This record gives sequence, structure tokens and C-alpha cells, in this order.
Amino acid sequence: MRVNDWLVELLSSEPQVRREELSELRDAIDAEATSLLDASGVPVDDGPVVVSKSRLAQLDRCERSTVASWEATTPPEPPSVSALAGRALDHFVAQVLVGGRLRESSHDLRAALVAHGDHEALGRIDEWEGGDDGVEFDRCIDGLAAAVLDAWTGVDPSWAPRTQVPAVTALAGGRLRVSGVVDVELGGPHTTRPGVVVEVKSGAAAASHRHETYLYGLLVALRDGTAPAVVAQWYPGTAPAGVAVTIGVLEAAAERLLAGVRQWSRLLAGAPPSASPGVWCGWCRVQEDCDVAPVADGGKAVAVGDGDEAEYTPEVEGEQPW
Amino acid sequence: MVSSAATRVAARLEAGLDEVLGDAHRRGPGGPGRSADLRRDRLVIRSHDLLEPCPRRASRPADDYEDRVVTTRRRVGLLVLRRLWGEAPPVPPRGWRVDPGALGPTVRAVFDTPDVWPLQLWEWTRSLDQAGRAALAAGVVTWCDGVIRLVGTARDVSWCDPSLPIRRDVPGRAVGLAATLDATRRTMEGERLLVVTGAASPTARRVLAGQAVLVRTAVARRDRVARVTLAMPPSGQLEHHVVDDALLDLAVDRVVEHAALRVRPDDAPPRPSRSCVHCHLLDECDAGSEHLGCRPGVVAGPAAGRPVDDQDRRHQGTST
Ligand code: SF4
Ligand code: SF4
Repeated sequence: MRVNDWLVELLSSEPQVRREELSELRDAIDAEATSLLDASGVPVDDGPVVVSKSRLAQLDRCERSTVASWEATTPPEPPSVSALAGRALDHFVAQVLVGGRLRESSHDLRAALVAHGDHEALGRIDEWEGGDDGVEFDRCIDGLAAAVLDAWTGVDPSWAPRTQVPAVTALAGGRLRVSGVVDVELGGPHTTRPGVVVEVKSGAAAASHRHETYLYGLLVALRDGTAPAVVAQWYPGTAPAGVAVTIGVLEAAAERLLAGVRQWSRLLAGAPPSASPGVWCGWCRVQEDCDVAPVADGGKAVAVGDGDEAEYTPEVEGEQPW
Repeated sequence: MVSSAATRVAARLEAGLDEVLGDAHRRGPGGPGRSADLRRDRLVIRSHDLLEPCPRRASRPADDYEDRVVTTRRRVGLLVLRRLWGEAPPVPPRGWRVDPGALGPTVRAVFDTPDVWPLQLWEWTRSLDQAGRAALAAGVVTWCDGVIRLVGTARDVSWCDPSLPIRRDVPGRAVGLAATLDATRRTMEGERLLVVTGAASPTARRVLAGQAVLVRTAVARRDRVARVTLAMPPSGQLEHHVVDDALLDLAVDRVVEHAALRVRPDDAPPRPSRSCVHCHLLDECDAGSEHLGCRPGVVAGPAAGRPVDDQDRRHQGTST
């Protein structure tokens, strides 16, 4: 299904969350976050506790691995085929939404990576060239590019599509910063269209993706003071899977967020992290020192998160435009 | 007309620089006369230099600027906003606001109008292939949309021309102060400044606001600035700073402190933190290496020395 056709069906969607409900939810999150940080023992002088969407996803997988990445003083391992495919998908969607077309997937991806100065990814692609990984990668991104062209061509400009949009909220008097980068935003309170948030996913569908999308809905709602009407995930070759944003959806996101804040602040205060093995052990930094890791089987890494999530600390409410 | 506040601040700046620089970076008798010497001798202090928490790193700023989407989207975005606002009706109707749906076509129109671009930026853009330009356009659309979301109903805005860096030389000194400034508005009570930023800490934002006013008034001896507003698209917030003595004094003191570090880099103490992992000096800094728990040199991988913010350095005068 073309995304534009799906959007046409959403034209009459109304935000279902009242501003007062959102404001109450924000106050409740703020109060709970404050008491969690107070109870955790994280020193205030250490600066704000930062909880990004990718950190929440990491914590869901394995605490020990999350702490190891946070403490790491060396750059992470170079991206795997599937991690780079995730980046390629984001670039393709942006290119089609703004430039209107894709020509040749590997050429276009390289051009986007050059523009972004993503030397790490370019170097990795060069390394793969001529080998099995290169063949696999090219096949993978050819399929992604075709799916993006098919789905994302022709989105009506009145939806004001934008990509890789940061959304950041400061809570607990600035002691906590929650951040994420939304793959695609459409419409919203400054346009004539309902607000729609789409998370673009290159891998197989997973239950956790729905929660990530809810979290984006919450972050955008807190940023704009108005909840989006719909949040959705889009997987190549499928129609967007949308959910109307209700206060229940935002409460579910808030609950998961606060659980992550509790977990992360406890770890920052020095609690021993637990180790939870899974397919992710294949790209864990401390795998060699971990006694619960399964024997390495060359398993492939999956998407590694949003990368450069900008983090900001808003402080002052400003209702008047400048 | 020069206000008394501007005169007072200019005097404070002059006295502060006299104290820390002495005869270094002085113009006129004893200082560089020819413009080539002046260019070489000029000390440029940019807004984001003042935000560097480690004195040692502040004393030797990295010179690793690279044109890429994140470092250029703001300048291209300003071209787009200038065009969008320029297309507004002379007397906009009540309830007017910029249409974000027009962003895509306007970005394309700007890409087809070479004469409005700073030359070097235009050349870089032309070096990109069509997909690279689409990647830049996508970054510009997102940046502009964030700004429009916050200030899209303000009509009488003058967006800054990215070809004209906001930089002023301190009178009598080969010292240039450069500020991040995105737009201005004239109001009855004075000029208002707008700075679009992602600065995280309240202190950093105050320094950015102060430096913008300092460059606009005290150094340039322009008319009064009434207010600075910081627009923060990622958090959807506007933060207003009233221009008072405290704000200006903070800006002057930060500039003077920074100038002292730059002329005596060997005296600048290290202040290690987690950000050492990105520092271009890590290879030679024992304190940073110790903080990271490793020997000097072993952690300087691809991330080392990478700029960690979205400050547009060339726009602020790094190329001097
Ligand atoms: S190897 Fe697996 S279980 Fe062990 S820390 Fe890493 S991710 Fe966790
Ligand atoms: S390594 Fe750390 S302490 Fe040393 S100069 Fe860089 S930021 Fe400062």
C-alpha cells in the first residue's frame, strides 16, 4: 500500500488526547521521575541522566551490555550488514520524500553517506566490495530501495513530510533528559493535516517496535504540547501499521519510559547489572568476558539504534511566538 | 546612537582584554599593519568556543571542520527561510503563518538559485551528486520545519544572510568575536535577536545569548538589543533572555577568560570528562587518558576529535 493512500484514510483523524490530559500526564511523569532520581542515589553533580530511545531498547536486551557500551572508551565495532541496511532505509525514505526519486540504490546510498560525512559506513561498504558481504548488502539494499519507491513516492506536500526529527524532553527540573529521533513526521499542529509519526524498520516485526513507536508518540506530544493523531511502524513491503494515539497509548509509553529510568538510574548509582543472553550477544562489547554468553555463532547484529540523538534541556515554557 | 550600556560593556571588554592579552593581538602601533599579517594574527572567538568545558581543549580548538549535512543545513536553511518569508504578502492577513508544505518546493528553488549562496557552500553542494543533494535537502527541511513550528507566525522577521558572518573585530585589537545569530526583528523597545540552538545546559544558552548581544551591540556599537530568544526545535521551546548588565558581563567575562586560554595554552588545565573520548588532544593528554582508563593514544579511534555539536563554524568565521 502506498503511504499516501494510507494518509488519505487518516485525513479526518482527530487528536484524541485533550491538552489537559497531556498536561496532567506530563506532571505525573515529572513527579515520578523526580522521586525515582531522588531514590536512586545518582549524584546531581554528574549532570542530567540521559535516557534515549536506543538506551531503552538496549536495557530491554541486556543491562550489562548497556553499561559496557556506556562506559566504553573505544568506538563501537563497525556496523554490520543489517545495521547499515537500517541506515540505508532511512536515507532512501528521506530521498524519496524530499527528492522524489531513487536511481541506483548503492550509488544513491554512497552519495547520501558522502553528504552526511559518514566515513565509517563508506569505509565498511568499501571493505565488503567484491566479497560475500558486499553481495548480500547490495541485494538487501536493492530490495529496500524498491520497497521505498513503491510505498513512499507521491506523498502529498500538504503533509509537510520531514525525516530524522529530534524530540527531546527535560524532566525532574532538568535532571533527566529523554530523547529520540523520529524517522518520519507528517502533518501536525502547525499544518492543516493531523499529526502522524512513522517509525521505519528494516528488520522483522517485533513486539518491542510497537512500544518504541508509542514512546515517539509521547516525545512528540510533550514537544508539541499536542499529541499526534496516529503513530505507526512501516516495514518494507507492508502497509503502515498505525495506531490511534489515545491517552492510554501515551500512558503505556510513560510507564515503559519510567521503568527504563528506574533501571538506568539504579545502574548509574552503581547497582550491579544483570546479564541477559540473546542473539544480541553476537555484537556485545564484553562478550569475551561474559560467562553467560552463548558460544559465538557468527550471528548477525540487528539495528543498533538512532545514533546521534541530539540531547537538549528545555527549561522555559514559551507560549508566545518569538 | 551608542547606548551607555554598550559603552560600558565595550570598556569592560577592552580592560579585560588589555589585562590578559597585553600587547598580543593588538592593532595599530606595535601590532600587525598589513592585512595579511592581521589575518594571521587575528584571534577569532566564536560562540561555541565559549561553551567548551575543558580549558585545555578550549585553548587549542580543533580545526577539523568538514562540510556535511549536519554542519551546513542551518546555513542552507536560512536561505530557505529568507525566501519563504520573502514570498509572504506585504500585509499578511490575520492568522497568517508560513506554510510548512511549501518547504520542499522552496528548498528546490533555492538549490536552483546559485547567486544567493555563499560561494564555498555552493561549491560543496555542486560537488554532491543528486542523491547527496537530496540528503542535504532532507536535513534542511527538518531544520526549517523545526524553526517554523516555533516562529512560523512571526511576520516581520529578518533572517540572517549566511553569506555575511556575524563577526566583529574588537576595536584596536586583532580579535574577532563571532556569534551564532539566525534572525532579527525591530520592535518599539529595540531589536530582538533569535538564535536557533540545541545547547543543552541553561548556562550554555545564556552564554550564547550574551555573545549574540555582545557582537551586535557592544562591539559593533549598534542600537539597543531588547531581548534575545533562543529557539530549541527539538524540545519545542522558546527561551527569552532579557538584555541586562548581568547578561552582558557574563558574555564579556567568558570572552576574556577564553582569550587568556588561547594566548597561554600551556597554562590551560585539563578537565577530564566522558567527552575526552571525542577530544582531538586525547593522544597527548595524560589526564584525559587516565580518566578514560587507558594509555594515551589507544582510544583515538574514528570518534576522536569529531565535532560533537551542530555549530556552524565556518559561518562563524573559522576560515579566517
Ligand atoms: S555477552 Fe550477552 S549476556 Fe553477556 S553481557 Fe553481552 S549481551 Fe549480555
Ligand atoms: S582529553 Fe579530556 S582533559 Fe584532555 S584536553 Fe581533551 S577534553 Fe581536556
